[in-house]
Amino acid sequence: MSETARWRRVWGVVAGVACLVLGMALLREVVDLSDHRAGLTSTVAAAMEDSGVSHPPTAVLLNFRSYDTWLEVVVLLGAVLGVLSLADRRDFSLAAPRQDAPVLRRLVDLVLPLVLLGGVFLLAQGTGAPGGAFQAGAVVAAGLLLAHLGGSLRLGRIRGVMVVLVAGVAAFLTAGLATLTAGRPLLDFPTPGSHAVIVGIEIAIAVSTALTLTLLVLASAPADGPDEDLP
Amino acid sequence: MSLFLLYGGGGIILFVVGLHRLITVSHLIRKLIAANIMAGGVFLLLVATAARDAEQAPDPVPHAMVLTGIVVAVGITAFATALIRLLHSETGSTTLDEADGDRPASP
Amino acid sequence: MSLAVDLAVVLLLLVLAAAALYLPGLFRSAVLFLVFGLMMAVAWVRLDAADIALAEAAIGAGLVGALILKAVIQMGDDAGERGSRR
Repeated sequence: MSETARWRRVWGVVAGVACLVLGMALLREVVDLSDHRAGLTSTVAAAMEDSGVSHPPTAVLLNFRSYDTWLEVVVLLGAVLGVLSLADRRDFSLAAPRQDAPVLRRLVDLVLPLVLLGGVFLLAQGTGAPGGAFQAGAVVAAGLLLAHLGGSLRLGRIRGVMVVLVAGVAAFLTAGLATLTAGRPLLDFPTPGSHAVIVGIEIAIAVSTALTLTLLVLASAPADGPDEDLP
Repeated sequence: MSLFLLYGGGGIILFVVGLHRLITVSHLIRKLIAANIMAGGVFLLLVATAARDAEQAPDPVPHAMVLTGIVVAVGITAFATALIRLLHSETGSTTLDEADGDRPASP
Repeated sequence: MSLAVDLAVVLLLLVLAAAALYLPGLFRSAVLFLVFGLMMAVAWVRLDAADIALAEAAIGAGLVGALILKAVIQMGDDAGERGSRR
């Protein structure tokens, strides 16, 4: 066999052995870990009253570790800017929707309001039950993508797209600056106002995430018309 | 076997298997799939550590971390597919190898 | 009883991942990866992580799977790797 093929075969074996060894070492560590019980559940539970929401993961995401969530939204913004900068078109217009799917279009027209309602519901109950901004944004993005596939979403140059895309980052920035100018540590929300701040940030995140996720999938489309037929 | 061992061990296996394919295959989309499966394995291990104590509610901090990880993964995958598509449309190849009969890596 | 369910979930996850990674055919890999993502959502439910289950089903399986599938389809017939589209 050729030179490269032989090297590839050798590398395959070496990699396989190395991964096996790594896997066994990691598994041993996992077995060691299984005895540790100390988690942060009680620590978080003790601080829930100050958080402004009643669902622990939401409190962790948007209050106790809100800095991580801020940077997460920044990463999303960076990704969508990267995808848009690589897109074939110079404006934000999305790929031409399919023209020949009447059944899908009718179905989407029926289902889209429910999808949007579902997104709003997930956002609204995220403070007290499973749900939240990212889930809501993803559901709305799925609805928008369905609308695009069905042909009912016809967007040319979307004015104000950048404003919506940066809304999440901007909300965090505003909240952070507000806490700093009030003399508190960054993003340390005061207990009486924390619920309002969290809800405000969540709404901004949900809206910007919805558009961001939609553009992430759509903007990487070829410049020449609809996609080839899906199988 | 506890829940933690089962899911944690499964997560480790996913990670290692994904790692193996990541470093052996040359097709970029396959590498991307492998990287995402590795990420899934890590998330499994994290959430398994959150569910270790059966009496208490699950630890919400790893939940938040995994949520963040999932969102970051989709951003990275989107950018990666855009880059791979660009590479494919510019050079016609879907790997970064030079010695496979593709055009040589030229500036 | 519930341990059997968890065992089945983890086994399915491993089988789906191995199939997505090792079987020939790029399209098949992409679809299997999408199913793997949905199975992960089931695993999150078993681990009492409802928020993550929602996010995984929508973002992890749905959007990532759709992105990879989209890339596979839009790159057209690629030498050798396209494989079966069944």
